[in-house]
Amino acid sequence: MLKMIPDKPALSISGREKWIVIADLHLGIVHFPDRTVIEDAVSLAESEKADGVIVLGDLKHDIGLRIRERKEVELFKNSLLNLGIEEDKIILLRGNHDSGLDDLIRIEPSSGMVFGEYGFFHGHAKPSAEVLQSKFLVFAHIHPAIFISDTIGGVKRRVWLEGEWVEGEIEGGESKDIKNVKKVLVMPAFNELCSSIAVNMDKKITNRYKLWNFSAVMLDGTRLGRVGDLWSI
Amino acid sequence: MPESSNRLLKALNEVGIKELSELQKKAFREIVGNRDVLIIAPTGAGKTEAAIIPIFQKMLMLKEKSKNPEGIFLLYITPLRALNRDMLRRISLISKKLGFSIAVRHGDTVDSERKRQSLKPPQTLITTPETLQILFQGRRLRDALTNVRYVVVDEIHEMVDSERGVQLSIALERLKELSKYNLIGLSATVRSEDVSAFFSSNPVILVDEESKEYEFRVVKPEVTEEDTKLSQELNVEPEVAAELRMIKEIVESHNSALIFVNTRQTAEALGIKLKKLIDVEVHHGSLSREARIEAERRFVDGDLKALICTSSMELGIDIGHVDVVIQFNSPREVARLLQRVGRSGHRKDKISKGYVICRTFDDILESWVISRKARSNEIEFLRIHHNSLDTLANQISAIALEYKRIDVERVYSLIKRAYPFRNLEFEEFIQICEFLANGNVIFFDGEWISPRRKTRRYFYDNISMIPDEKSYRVVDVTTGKTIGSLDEGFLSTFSGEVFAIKGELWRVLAVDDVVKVEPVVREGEIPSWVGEEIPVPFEVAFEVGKLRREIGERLRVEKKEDLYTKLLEVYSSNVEATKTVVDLISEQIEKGFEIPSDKVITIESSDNVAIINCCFGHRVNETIGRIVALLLSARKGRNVGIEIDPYRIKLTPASSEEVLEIIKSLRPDAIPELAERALLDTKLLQWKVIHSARKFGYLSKDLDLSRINLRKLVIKLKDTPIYREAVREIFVEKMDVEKASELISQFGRSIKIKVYDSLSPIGLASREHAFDLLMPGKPVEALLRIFRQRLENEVTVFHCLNCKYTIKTPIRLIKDLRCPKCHSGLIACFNARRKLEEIPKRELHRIANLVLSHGKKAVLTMNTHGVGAENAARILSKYYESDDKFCLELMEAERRYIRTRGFWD
Repeated sequence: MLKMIPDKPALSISGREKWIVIADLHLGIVHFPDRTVIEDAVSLAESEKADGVIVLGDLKHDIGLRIRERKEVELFKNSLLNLGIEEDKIILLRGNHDSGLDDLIRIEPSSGMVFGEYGFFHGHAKPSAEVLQSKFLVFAHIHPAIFISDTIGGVKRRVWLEGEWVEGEIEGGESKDIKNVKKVLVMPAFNELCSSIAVNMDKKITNRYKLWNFSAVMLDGTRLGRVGDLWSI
Repeated sequence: MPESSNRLLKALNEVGIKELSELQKKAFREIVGNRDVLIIAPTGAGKTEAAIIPIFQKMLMLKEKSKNPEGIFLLYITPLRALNRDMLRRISLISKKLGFSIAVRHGDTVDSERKRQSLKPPQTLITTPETLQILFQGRRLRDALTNVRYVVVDEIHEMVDSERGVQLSIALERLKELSKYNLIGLSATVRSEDVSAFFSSNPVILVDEESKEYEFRVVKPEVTEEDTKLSQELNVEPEVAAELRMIKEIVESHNSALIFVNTRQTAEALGIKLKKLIDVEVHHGSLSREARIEAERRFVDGDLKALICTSSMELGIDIGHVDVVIQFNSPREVARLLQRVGRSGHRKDKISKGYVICRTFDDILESWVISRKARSNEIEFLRIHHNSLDTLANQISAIALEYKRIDVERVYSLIKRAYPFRNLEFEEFIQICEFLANGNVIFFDGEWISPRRKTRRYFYDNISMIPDEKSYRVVDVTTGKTIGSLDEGFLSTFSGEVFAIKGELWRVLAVDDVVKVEPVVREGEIPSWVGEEIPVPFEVAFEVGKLRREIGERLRVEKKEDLYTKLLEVYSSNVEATKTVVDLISEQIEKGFEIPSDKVITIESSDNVAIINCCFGHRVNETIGRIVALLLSARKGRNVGIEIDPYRIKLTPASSEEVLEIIKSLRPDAIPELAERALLDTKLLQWKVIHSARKFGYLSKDLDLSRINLRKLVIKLKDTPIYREAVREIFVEKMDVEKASELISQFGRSIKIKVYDSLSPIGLASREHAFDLLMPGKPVEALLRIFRQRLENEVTVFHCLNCKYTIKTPIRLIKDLRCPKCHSGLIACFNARRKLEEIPKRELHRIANLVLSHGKKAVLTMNTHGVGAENAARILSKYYESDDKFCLELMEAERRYIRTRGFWD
């Protein structure tokens, strides 16, 4: 079963093995070594007693290769190994920021990966037909948030987006391969320092990913409702 | 007379200096006598020559003894690049006549020239504080610095209250490690105690005694019939037309005029309109160098009769004979007025003449007070940046690079010698070193400091302590037109909010390479940001309060008309201006309001807007305003917006009773802590933290700010020097915590508080709109609104248990909870996600009973995600004191369900 971990931008999958899924860590976004994101992720894996960790893309921040980012990725991996998680159960699905890590960590292609009944992909590139066959799709990349306005301004909060893609609707998806309605989940960014996109203000993103009918849920479980209904309120 | 003096006199004669002034003679004696000297004199008093001539004399004397100085003998530091051109003309002429080498070096100096300078250092080097930083890092140039015998710092008043000055103060101490030199400071009108302490431990202070004569006029033009006509031609308000016409008249009755404005935007706006009436150009910092030089040249050549400028023209650039200065709107500060008006009648024997043109009640009173203070030379105190941590970080890394390996205690004692760091604690210093070492900016093992690979890049990226900002074009997507530009600092601090530009409100849609906006049509939106204003100091605002009170007292015994003329004479103003002021005060009295003054603050409110009228200036009002808003926000659980001006604090939404209660609860000793807390969620702090984080090398200079969640960044950095530095800067530049506490302790004593439940004429007379937001931790009220709206839109099944009549409808459309067919009240409502046939009979009856006894509430409850009949019964059985409380419970129930369920179950 796929569940949100309350108050965390993370999913847990329970079955014979327990897995957690996180996305968009963007290690190295600030120029000082910043251990807190790694520590948060690792302690989550620990408290959930995870057997495996899937990073749904953008484990590090910069495009290109930098020594320190590699070091942080190494630290991330080693800390998880220390918990007793096996090396090939630490999986990174390639995002648009994840070049130059192939020798460090198990990497699955940007076209995604099928994991049981779930199809995982980062979201910047077209998922493979095989991934799109899955009954449930999970992606990240857009750092979804909702802008909650009030009389004199407002605040932006990270959200989960939960919804459906109907056959033929997925941009770039080969419609003939999609037999029916897909359940889709969009993950919030794990690193809170990353800015998020208010999907109820950004038409471009909302249109591209067909998010109008998606339902937005805050990390604490507050259900905000349909993105379309939250538009420019 | 020695040969050297003869040669000097001859050279001076050749450049047109026949005789030294009193000031220059005094300076000559002290400088030749090897003293540190601070020369304070208005522009045009010949300060530069006063410093340079005796130094050249020294050089000549050495040359006579065949000890022609090698390396850099004189270092001339000046804050502006533009100044170098002018300085070069004046000094290099004399220098060449005497056969001494001289050169200029700044950011734009070409490589070949730099190379030449380091191979053969000039005897006199003219440079900027930033380029001086680089001189320490080159091997040859650093060697050349060991010969420095004199350092002249020009326009020192420009630097004392900025971080540039703080950086320079350390650089001067670093230079002392290399050579023994005398320091000569040149300053315009300032309080000498500030500058002298900052600058040298024991300088001789020379103040120009034959001080300049000033003439100020504060005027408001009367709108004539012709102005009304002009206003249609130019498409402006009649009042603006009258002002333009008056500027035109003043310019035309003089030879050459400088028109000072307070912001670049005003400069541009005024330029567009004024160009239709007279030959005028605009001059400000955002224009290209070429455009500025061209405007200066045309003005000096007499091609242009007037130049519109910002502070870019305040400094001693030689722009020829200006015989009048026009200040458009209040100059805000005494020093600023003196500096600006001082640009006219540049030669000392002439009177400096200045007009202040202003329109509003606040502006006129403020300009009166400022010109009175200017006449009696009551200049503001400068606010020095003590213990600036980002400058410290920057200089620690500079020293690491300069020395390669240096004892930490030596660095500490060197830095502590600089005035702004004289109270720096060793522990704090070590913390900064450790923080930098943590980020690999330097190497530090508790004893030694050394550079690391990152140090050089970090240092060179952060030499300038002036925040440099990118600027973005703003495009209206509905028309595709560019409507202006915005600084990065603004952009980085908001998302999806409304702001004002060109006098209209816009909502930001997206920020790419341009800012895309759409016009805001909805009523009642408040802009979240308007622009930087020059703060009005406490002393000025407080005296405005005093003047308001005095006028009020006079009005009780005198006729208005008599007061017009009296004030007009005292403040050399005009009738239109005095009328504006006296009439408003008299209206205030007639309507039964006290006059907010130096002895009274009034709190008034109407329609959820509360105004505190208090004449304390920007910084104090900012402090008090933010604190009151913070406490109000906490109490109300929703945002409270504030608008600040030097005489008012406006709070929305709020009532005067609420504000009074909070004001009364304020304890002076809690103010510093509250002030810091009040900053926590503001855009101001976010921007300052970004700036500080860059200065510490924590964020890369070219990091795209739209990628960072600023709110989280601030929270994350809360226990670091980056955050402390950001708060420190705000406390120096934007707030005055000390003064605020002092004044609050006087509330109810020497300062009375009066409360009204309607807005007074003075309360409504605000001239500006500065705005910031305060955000409570959770937007409870906004969330509730969204939740309720969503619930009302949920599609529910409406099923009659009696006749089985069944429809699906959004909840909001349900008016009556009885069956429209059989009028039975046994109605089961549940969300349309569920199917009727899947619900057991027993449950349907249970739901119908809930609807019967709880009505609409039951319908809402049954449509909340994850709430079944049993849960609904429990929720509905509780007591709720308000609808909000009930909705909160539903929201919480839904949250509990969502937190525990799986997706797609």
